[in-house]
Amino acid sequence: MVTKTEETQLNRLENQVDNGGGGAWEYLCLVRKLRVRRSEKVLKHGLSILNDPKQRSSLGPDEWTLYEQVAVAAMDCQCLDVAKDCTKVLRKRFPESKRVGRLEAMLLEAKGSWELAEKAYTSLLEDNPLDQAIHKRRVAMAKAQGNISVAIDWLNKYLEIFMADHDAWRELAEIYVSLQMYKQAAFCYEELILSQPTVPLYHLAYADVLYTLGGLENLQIAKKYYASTVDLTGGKNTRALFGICLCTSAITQLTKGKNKEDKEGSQLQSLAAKVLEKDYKQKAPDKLPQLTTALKSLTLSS
Amino acid sequence: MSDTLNDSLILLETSDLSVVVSSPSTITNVVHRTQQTMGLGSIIGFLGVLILSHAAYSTIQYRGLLKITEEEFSGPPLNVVIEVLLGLVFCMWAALTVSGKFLSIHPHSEENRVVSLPANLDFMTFNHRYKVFSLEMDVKLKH
Repeated sequence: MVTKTEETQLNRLENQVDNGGGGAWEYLCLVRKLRVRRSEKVLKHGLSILNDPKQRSSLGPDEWTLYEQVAVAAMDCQCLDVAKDCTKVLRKRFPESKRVGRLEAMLLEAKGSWELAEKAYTSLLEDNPLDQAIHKRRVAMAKAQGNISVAIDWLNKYLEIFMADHDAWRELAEIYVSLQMYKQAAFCYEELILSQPTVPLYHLAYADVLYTLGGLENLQIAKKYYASTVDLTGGKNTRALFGICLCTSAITQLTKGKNKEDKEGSQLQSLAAKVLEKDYKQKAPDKLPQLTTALKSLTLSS
Repeated sequence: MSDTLNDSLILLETSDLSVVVSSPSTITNVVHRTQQTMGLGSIIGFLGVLILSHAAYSTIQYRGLLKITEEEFSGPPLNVVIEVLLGLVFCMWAALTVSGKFLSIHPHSEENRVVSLPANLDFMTFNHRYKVFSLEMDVKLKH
C-alpha cells in the first residue's frame, strides 16, 4: 500500500535524483519497498551505482538485491544485454539459487521464447511445487501470450491453495473486469474487502463494478461502498464523490414513479457535490464551469 | 499503579524505528535526538520509580509507628501523598516521552491514507511499448 506521505516522499526523492541531487540508493530502496514500477529510472540510477565500484562495495550484501532489481527493470525496458549480465553475475555468486533460476526464466520470457521459459518454470516447480512466485509467473506468462482463459484457470487453481494471497485476488479481479465478467470480478473484490477492510481503493473498485452491473439493488450497494470510501479517505477521493452523485441520480431515475423515502440519499448527493465544488475551486478553478454543468445535468435528470 | 503505566508504555509505538529510508545524516540525527530524549526520559522515569518506592517505604514505617503509639489510622501522611502524586507525574511523563512519537490511527490521516496500490509486480508482463520503441539510452554493465 502506498500512503499519502510515502507518495510525497517518493516524488520528492525522484525529483532530487533526477536533478542529480544524490540519494539514488534511498530512492531505489523506496521503490523496492513500495513496489512501484519505475523500471526506466531504476535501470538508469541502479546501473550508475553498479558501474561505480566504490559505491557498489559500500552497499555490502545489499549489492545482490540491487543486481536483482536492476535485472528485472532491464527486462521491463527490453535492455536484454544488461539483464543478461546482471543475471550472470548473480549466477556466479549464487550457483544453486532458485531465485536466480526464476530470474533466468524471466529473461527467457522477456526474449519471447515462451516454450523455453515454460520448461524452466516447470523444472523449478518440480523442485518446489509450492513456490508462489513461480506459479504467479506462469499465470503472467499465459496472460502475456494472450491465453486469458488459461491464465484464469491457473489463477483459480492457485487461489484454491493460497487463498490469503490478495495480490492474486486483485489480479484475478482485474482480468475479469477486462473481460467484462463483472459478477466474477465483484466476488474477487468482496474477497479483497474481507481480507483488507481498511483499504479504500478496494471499496472503490467494488463500487465501480456494482455500478457498472446496474440494477436498483446493485446501485444502492454501490452507493454505500462509495460512501464508505469517502469515509475511509476523509472525503479526499474525487472518484468516490463523483460515484455518489452518479449513483444517486441513477437510483432516482429508476425509482421515478414510485417516489418514496430517499430524503437521505439526496442529502448525501448535495454534500458530495459541495465537496467536489470546493475541491475544484481550490485545485482546478478553470474546470469549475464544466463541473457545475455536469452536476446540474445529474440533478436535472432526476 | 506502575503496572498500568507499564501497559501504556507498551501501547506506544516507536515511529523513529520505522525510518528506513533517509539520508545517513538524518538517520544519525534521529538516532541522536532519540537517544537524548530517551536519556532524559529514563532518568526522570527512574526518579519517579525511586520516589514511589520511597513512598511505599515511608508508608510501612508510618504503620509501624502507629502500631507502637497504638493510634487509630485516620489517613496517609501528607508527605506520602505528595510523593505518590509526584511519582505518578514523573512516571507518566517518562512513559509518554521515552517510547517515541505518537502515530495517527485515523484511516484518513496523511500517514495512513492509501492513495495507490502497489504495481502487481509478481504478475508483470513485458508486452508493452518498450518492445517496439527501445530505450534511447546506451546502458551497459561494466565489469
